Amino acid sequence: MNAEWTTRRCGERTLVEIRLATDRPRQVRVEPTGEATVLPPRTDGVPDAGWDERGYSGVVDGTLGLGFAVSDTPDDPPVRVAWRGPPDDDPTFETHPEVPSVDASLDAVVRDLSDPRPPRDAIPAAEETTRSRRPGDHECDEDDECEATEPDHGTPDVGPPSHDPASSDAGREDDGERRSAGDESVVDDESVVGDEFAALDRRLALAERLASATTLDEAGAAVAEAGGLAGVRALDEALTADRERLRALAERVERLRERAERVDVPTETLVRTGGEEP
Amino acid sequence: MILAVTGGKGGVGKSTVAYNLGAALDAVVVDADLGMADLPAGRGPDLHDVLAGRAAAVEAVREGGPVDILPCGRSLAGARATDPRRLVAAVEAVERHYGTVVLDCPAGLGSDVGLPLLVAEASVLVTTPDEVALADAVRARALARELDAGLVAVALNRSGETPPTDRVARTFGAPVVAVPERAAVARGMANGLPAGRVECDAGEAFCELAGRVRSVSR
Repeated sequence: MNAEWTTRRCGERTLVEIRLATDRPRQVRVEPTGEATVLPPRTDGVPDAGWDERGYSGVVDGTLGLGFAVSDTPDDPPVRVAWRGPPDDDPTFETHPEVPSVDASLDAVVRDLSDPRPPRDAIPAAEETTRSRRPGDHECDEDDECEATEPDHGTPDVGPPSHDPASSDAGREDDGERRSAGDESVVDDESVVGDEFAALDRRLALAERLASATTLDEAGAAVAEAGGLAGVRALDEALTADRERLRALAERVERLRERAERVDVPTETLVRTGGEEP
Repeated sequence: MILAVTGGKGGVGKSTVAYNLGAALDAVVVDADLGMADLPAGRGPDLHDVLAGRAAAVEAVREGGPVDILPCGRSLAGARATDPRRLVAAVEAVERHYGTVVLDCPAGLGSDVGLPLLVAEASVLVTTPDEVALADAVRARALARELDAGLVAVALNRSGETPPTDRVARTFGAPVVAVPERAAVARGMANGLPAGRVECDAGEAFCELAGRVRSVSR
């Protein structure tokens, strides 16, 4: 069993690289020395498997490289490596081949099981809120005074109206997303459609002001209204998505109209053959 | 006491069992299905707001109906804007305030099932007798074990006249409570009424389940 490390100063932090080697599988615990806070490697904001707030626990079978940062200059040696014998061959829980092994910790559950949130692509463009965040972007305990994340005011109206709990309760029950499979089965709530069209109307009006500016002053005012050049670009992207969505919507409306034209409900026939009184 | 009602497969009656167990245990039922909520909702903040940091969990609990409920939002954008990890702290806050929480888990084996199982100290597995549902329930049980949410009982829903309780008990290594199929249960739930108030047989099954849950409660 062997451990080698290097340290590298990076701003106010120190990067520690450690290479562990064994000739047989061994459990190991790695912690920095001193009072330094560990900043473990993360994926999507979640510490990688084996890492906690004090260090790393895992199994080395052959060689294993680890890298992490500490908030301060560590002591010398920078890490404490504790070898803890062979891995546990007697798992506590009955496993299932199709069920991933997952530690009973918040980070492990989020990391090892799939993200429950619908993918961004599944959300109609005008409906997605600008406050979508990834886990870990903002830590907030239940007891904290937790402020709602406000939409980004620096860009034009490229998202939908925000979901203010105080104002959006009406119609919440039917936000228009309880949709069943099938091309024509999507029935948007009127208010949602109205909101989407209103947002689109605002985007188009802004785009028209940008396009119709003929003097430098007008152009400058329109760009400022759009939230700067970044806002102009965001508006351009949003309109590209809008065009696609409007085309799809128009096609759907046309298909529905054609079907509605073709079909007649044979009420009289059904009444006669069913033997019921009209 | 935090109890997760899970099952693996969709449509086996998890929400029905969770809602009626909530009634029998005088618990708050949390609709933890971020993408497809199906417990009665109303107006006011919901779980999407809680998990997005816009509302405290306790203030999102609706106390007006026969069962206290923390409903989930029903919009995809609302689900997208959440941080699912907040569920753990939210449920613990509700437990501190109300005492008992029943978590109605979604189908599948994603982290929206894992997080309720992580925060729960015990679980009830819901399945129907058909093979597909049982296979999914076996996976759900394995995940519950991974996350240390001990299996209290299996609710064998829509169990028919001769429920295969012994076989199911052997499969899961836990007591099985047969829940008879009663249209009134589903009808009552759609109207916000737990089974105990609409159907005696099914109500008894939920009382038995609740008794088993209480027996393991700390």
